[in-house]
Amino acid sequence: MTGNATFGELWRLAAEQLRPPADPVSGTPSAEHEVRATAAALHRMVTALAGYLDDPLWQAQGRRFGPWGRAAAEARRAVHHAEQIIGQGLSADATSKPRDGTLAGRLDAAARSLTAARDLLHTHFGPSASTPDCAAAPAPRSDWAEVVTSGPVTRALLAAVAAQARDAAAQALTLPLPAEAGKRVTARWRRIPHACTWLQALDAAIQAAQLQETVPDSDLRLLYAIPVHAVPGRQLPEDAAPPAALSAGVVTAADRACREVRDLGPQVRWTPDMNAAALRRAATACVVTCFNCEVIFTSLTPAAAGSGYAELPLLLDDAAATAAAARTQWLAVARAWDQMTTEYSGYPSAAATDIEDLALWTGRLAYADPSWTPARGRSASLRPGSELGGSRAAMTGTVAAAHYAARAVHRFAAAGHAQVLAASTARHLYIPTRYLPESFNIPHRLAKAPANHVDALLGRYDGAGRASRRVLDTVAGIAELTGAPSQVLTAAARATGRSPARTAPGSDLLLQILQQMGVTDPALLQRAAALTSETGRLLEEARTQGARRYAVNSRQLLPARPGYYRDPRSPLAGRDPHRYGAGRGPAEPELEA
Amino acid sequence: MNGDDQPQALLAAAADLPSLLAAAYEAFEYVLAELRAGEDAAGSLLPAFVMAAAAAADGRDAIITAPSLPRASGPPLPPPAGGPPHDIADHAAAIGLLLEARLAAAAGTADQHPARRAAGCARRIHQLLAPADDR
Repeated sequence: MTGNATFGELWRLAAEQLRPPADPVSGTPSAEHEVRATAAALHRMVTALAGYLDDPLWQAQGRRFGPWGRAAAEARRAVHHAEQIIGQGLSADATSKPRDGTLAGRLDAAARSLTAARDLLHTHFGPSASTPDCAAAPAPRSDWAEVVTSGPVTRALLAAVAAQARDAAAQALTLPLPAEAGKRVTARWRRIPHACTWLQALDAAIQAAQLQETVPDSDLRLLYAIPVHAVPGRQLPEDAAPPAALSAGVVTAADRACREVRDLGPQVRWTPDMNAAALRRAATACVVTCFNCEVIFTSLTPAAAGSGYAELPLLLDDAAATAAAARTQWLAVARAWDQMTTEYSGYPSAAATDIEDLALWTGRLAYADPSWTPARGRSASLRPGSELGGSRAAMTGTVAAAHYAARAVHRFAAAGHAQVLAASTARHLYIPTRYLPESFNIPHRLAKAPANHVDALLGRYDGAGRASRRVLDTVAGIAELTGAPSQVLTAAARATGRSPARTAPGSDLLLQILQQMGVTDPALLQRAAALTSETGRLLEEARTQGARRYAVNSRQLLPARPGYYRDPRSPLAGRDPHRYGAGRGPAEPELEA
Repeated sequence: MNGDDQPQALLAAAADLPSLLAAAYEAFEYVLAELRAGEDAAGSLLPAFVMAAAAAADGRDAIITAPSLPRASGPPLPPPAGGPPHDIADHAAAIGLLLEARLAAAAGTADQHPARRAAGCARRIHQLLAPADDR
């Protein structure tokens, strides 16, 4: 969806090599050479498969998920046997590249694809980071990292590895014993079916787990959809670009924005380039993006009537309404920034630039004007619904674009909240004294922002976050209904246990309690949000002052749920949960539906 | 002179750098208030309004760091009268244009960096809000 290479593309390349060839290569080389080359290629194939089963990324997962854990252990033993058997007596020439199209050539190509696919998954992790409680945990560096190591994807990966092992064995077993083979060649040839027996044992172990707990196709699709971690270059829309190109551009811009925000999110320290100017730009861009999405949903509605999905027009209406509500909430954030400022670093903010690009891309998609910009004077004629959703491809492309855009906007609410909290803690927030009551009598233009103003700003971000979440959930539903490619975002959220239900608005404990009590009074909810923010600031301040004893003693006091460390509003967001006695691995922001 | 002309009048009357900066500060605040008041009825001009309002706040923040800006501010200008979105856009764009021109006077002074930044914000207000044939 983002245009980056995916795991599935590489995996399928391997699978294609392991299918029986329709047109075998003519010109058989010497039998001895063929046996040697096939054994060497099979060894590389087995080594590639063992790479997955031995990889520390999935080792921890294997220990704790029932039949699949046992299956993984058995598969690991089997592949090591196979590796040992086929590796015996291989000479240095085993590394020479076999001829394309031969059995050895196909096994070799499959092994290379499998290795490349594993490398692709590893792009989501940085160098291992040792912690006091964990020897060497790979450090996640993208939202996909948690998906890669999730239970559903680990199971899907094991099932996929088993299928490759089965196919590799089936192909290798087709190699006949050459006529007039010498003793050494015969011995080498015998190792091939022997190793294949262990590959079949690997497959059987996984099949046994499949019988107890089947891997759904959706998990395999999610595995195949995992893209390489590569930040796409910044792109701006060309004039008169077609809707399909604009939808793709929206996805890329939103993806870039999410990556920038991810880099910001876990940091509790104030980032100088996320100053008032940048946060204003970001909030404003979110207003415009929501506005544009509202236009897109409204334009799509008539086209949806003939789409064959009875409930789609209603869902699009709902999406337009939620986008309008989110726009209002973001406008409140932008207005709150009118009375607040920070120091100005002069550094450009990549995150603000990316979300502004997203506003431009969504505008180009929403409006008929081929050169639309937010400036006055551009034509405000809407793009016809037939262009946005006249065909199934157009509809799913547009829905996916809106889905990615909604995800980015939602991310900015959390990141903005975290940055305001950090700026407040570091005492970098100021207010023009004009906006203070006269009783303050400060003979300067600026003063430190009082707590109630900071709370109000944080409350605005909370509101924008909740409203943006509703847009995201609604569009996720539309993506699932229409089969838009962006439904992989929902699958990823489910795989990591971060489905909308778990990250529903009001996930703060206090807000949850109020909601369980049936409280809907906005004033009470606002106060609860303010109290949560104040608690966060207090804890962060204590941490900043080096209150080490608090951190140690708080193991019993702080919630053990891992999400607490990922909640950007949490004072421990981005902190290593191991230090605080809960969770596993470094924190990262949620990957939503 | 009605209330809506006061920002321009202040800018025109500023005889020295401190008074120019003070007038610019007030003008940015005025544009900000004017745009915020008009946002809800802005319709398709909403993107231009909200982005120009952010630029106005940025411009004010830039001016506030200027060393020559008097510490104490005078009384704020009366609130904008409001009106149809296109009239508000025209008015704010005109103030932006004037601000950019007047802030050029700070070149070569200790205030040139904040003034240049503020002038950039004023230019953006004008670019966002002026009719296409007036940019």
